[in-house]
Amino acid sequence: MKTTFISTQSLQNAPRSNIMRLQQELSKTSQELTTGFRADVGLDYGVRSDASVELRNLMTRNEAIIQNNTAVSSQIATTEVSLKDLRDNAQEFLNSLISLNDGGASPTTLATDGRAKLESMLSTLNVSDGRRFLFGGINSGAAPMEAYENGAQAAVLTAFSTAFGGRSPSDPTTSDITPADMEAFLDGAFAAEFDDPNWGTNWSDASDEVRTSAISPAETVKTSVSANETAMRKLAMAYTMVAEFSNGNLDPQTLNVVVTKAREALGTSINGLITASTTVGATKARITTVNEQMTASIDTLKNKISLFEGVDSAEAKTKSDLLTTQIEMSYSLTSQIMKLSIMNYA
Amino acid sequence: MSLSLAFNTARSSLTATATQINASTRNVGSAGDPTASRKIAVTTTTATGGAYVIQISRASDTALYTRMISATSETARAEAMKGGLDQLENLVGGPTSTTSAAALLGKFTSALSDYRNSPEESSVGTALVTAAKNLTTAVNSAADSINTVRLDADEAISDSVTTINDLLKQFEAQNNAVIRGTYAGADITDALDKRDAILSKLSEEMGVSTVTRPGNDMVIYTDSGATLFETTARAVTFQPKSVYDGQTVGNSVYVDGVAVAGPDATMTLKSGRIAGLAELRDETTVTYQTQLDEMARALVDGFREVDPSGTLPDAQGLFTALNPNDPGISARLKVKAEVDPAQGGSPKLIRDGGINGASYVQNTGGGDSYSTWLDTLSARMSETRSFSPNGGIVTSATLADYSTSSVGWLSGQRQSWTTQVTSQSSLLTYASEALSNATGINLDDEYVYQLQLEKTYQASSKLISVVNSLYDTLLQIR
Repeated sequence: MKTTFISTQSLQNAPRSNIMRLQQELSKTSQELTTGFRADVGLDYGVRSDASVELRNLMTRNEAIIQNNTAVSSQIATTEVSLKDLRDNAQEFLNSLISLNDGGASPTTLATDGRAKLESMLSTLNVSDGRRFLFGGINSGAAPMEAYENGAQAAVLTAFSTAFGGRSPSDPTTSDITPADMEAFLDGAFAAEFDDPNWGTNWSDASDEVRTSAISPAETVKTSVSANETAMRKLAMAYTMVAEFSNGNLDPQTLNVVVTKAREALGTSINGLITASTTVGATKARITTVNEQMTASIDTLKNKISLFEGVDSAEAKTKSDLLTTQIEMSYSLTSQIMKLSIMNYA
Repeated sequence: MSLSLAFNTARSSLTATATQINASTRNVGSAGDPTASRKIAVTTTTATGGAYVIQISRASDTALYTRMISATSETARAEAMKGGLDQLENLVGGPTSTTSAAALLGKFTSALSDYRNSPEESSVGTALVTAAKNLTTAVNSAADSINTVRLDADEAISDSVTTINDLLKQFEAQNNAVIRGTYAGADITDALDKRDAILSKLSEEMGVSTVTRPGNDMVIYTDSGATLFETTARAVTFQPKSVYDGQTVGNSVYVDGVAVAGPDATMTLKSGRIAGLAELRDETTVTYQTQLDEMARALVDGFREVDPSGTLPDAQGLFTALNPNDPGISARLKVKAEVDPAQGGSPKLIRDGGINGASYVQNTGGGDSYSTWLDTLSARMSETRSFSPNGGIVTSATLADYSTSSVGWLSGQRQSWTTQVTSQSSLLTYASEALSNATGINLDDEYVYQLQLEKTYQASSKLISVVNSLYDTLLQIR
């Protein structure tokens, strides 16, 4: 009984049977060596390989957020410039009104200035970045402000004539309007022109609902200011008041009421504009922070992905060298064993 | 001892040696055949001192052979599973693929948040529709891939059944030869070798166990106990399907009328290629299909439209599919033509609602920057939903998590079956090597043995010549 029998078949096949496995490994290793990434993430990690998709999807999402936030930032920047423009004009006009009290400017000059400022305000509120009208609220598809001549002016004059016996402001007889009557008119019928529904009919097509943006997965912020804000209404009111009613016909006392009311409205408006600027400025700062976080997170994700899917190239090289040596050795052994025959000796 | 007795002894030794040389030569001739076993000429001594060959037997080891057979079956099963899973992952895309349904779902989600933030830009809306179409295409083609893999498995089962029937016929012929030879006292070693070779091929197709009855008659059972061969080959039958869709249920494989694999199996095969293919066709791919269906269902549900006045029932929105509750919805999922600019639709309907008519419009004010409805849709995408337990993965997760879990599940299956293949095939290598070492042929050994037999032959011949000369001397004396 032979206890250590070995068949020729298994002797000759022993070194060869491993070659195929070694070659498969070599092909995998050389792929990893050239790409720097694991040849088969799914096979290496099994159920945990879902991290690969998750990380990639997270990266896609963060990249999209940054892209979107950059676009939103530029909209906000335009909005800020416009708000500053409105505020500067309002301030300038306020200064002119104060100078009227000091007897510096004529009421007619002020009226012309008021009209010009009104036009400038309307055109500022109609600013667009090419894709949307920034002050339109969610109705961003059309310019929010109507031209003054298109209804608003007529409505104001009608209100005036209704209040003061069918006269227009340019009528010389309007000098008989008492300060009390003027104040009642300005606080009543005239102010109503800048409240809903008249504001919506004659002045603005904007929506009260402002545009919002999801600047991060969990954060939605208001990214625009509507032309329907009180600040805008008061501003339009102040300009219109002076543009239409500031003339030499009025009794100086009555004119003073107009100017005082205009100054009050301007003051409220400037405060409102400052608040609006602060709000969008804060949003812009918040977006900058979010973008910094997202950029940092993308870097981390890239790192994680390369840690997860990448291979140590030095290790891969060593492994590939070792495999090559093993394969060569297998070849050499196979040929040695094939040569080994008793025929050569007996 | 008389001279004639010596003469006879030498003569029988000569015959015995010749038979032994013959056996050894046969061994040398079949050294390259892995299924051949070592032939041994069993000699014995006669009462008068001569040697003769009583029979040619072969080296065999039933325990090792059984181990080799079962390792073959296990390897074949694991390989069938691994092959199918590799094919599936190739078709649907692995974890690093940018075109897998999970990756495209990520892109779609980003496109949705882009549109939510720029609702007034129609190009962003169109990009969302494109992302949605890419996603549905990926889901559809993944569903197709599953059907392809199932159909391929079905065809492979059919091929396997044909092979089994063929092998069983060959087995019958060899088994008959063995029985006849046994009763006639003939040399049955070659027939036994051939019968074993057929049996090991059979074990690749399905797991088998055997019982040897008197007269070397072998009976084969499947590893689940159904009779495959007893005296005659039993019929193995299978009706392949020509088309697979999400609702197709494959047919069972019957052995002698008993279902051994497939949906009706009562004596389910534990190993062999058919066991692996049936598991792939009826379980693994079906589970994956369920996962895909659940994703498609979540998409349809997440984008359903609601009547703001609450009168009309909810209706399918951006994503639509017929019979969303039936299996195979992943193959039917598509983007509504109403929102697709390529089909004359408008992406604005996703923003405003109203894909199903004016009653479903949410943006009644018509604002271009209206984003409330898109907000609702985004929120639905990221809410935790419940999924069918038949998917074999998480049952409560967000759609995104579910889709990545599905990728992980497939990779996990692949990994575990690949490991199975590696370990089973090394078991098979060891078993085969052990068997080969126990029953195989060593050429060097045979050569030495032949030299030894040559000497015996020479000695016997010499003896004859000596006895002959003795006779001659004896006859000359007379």
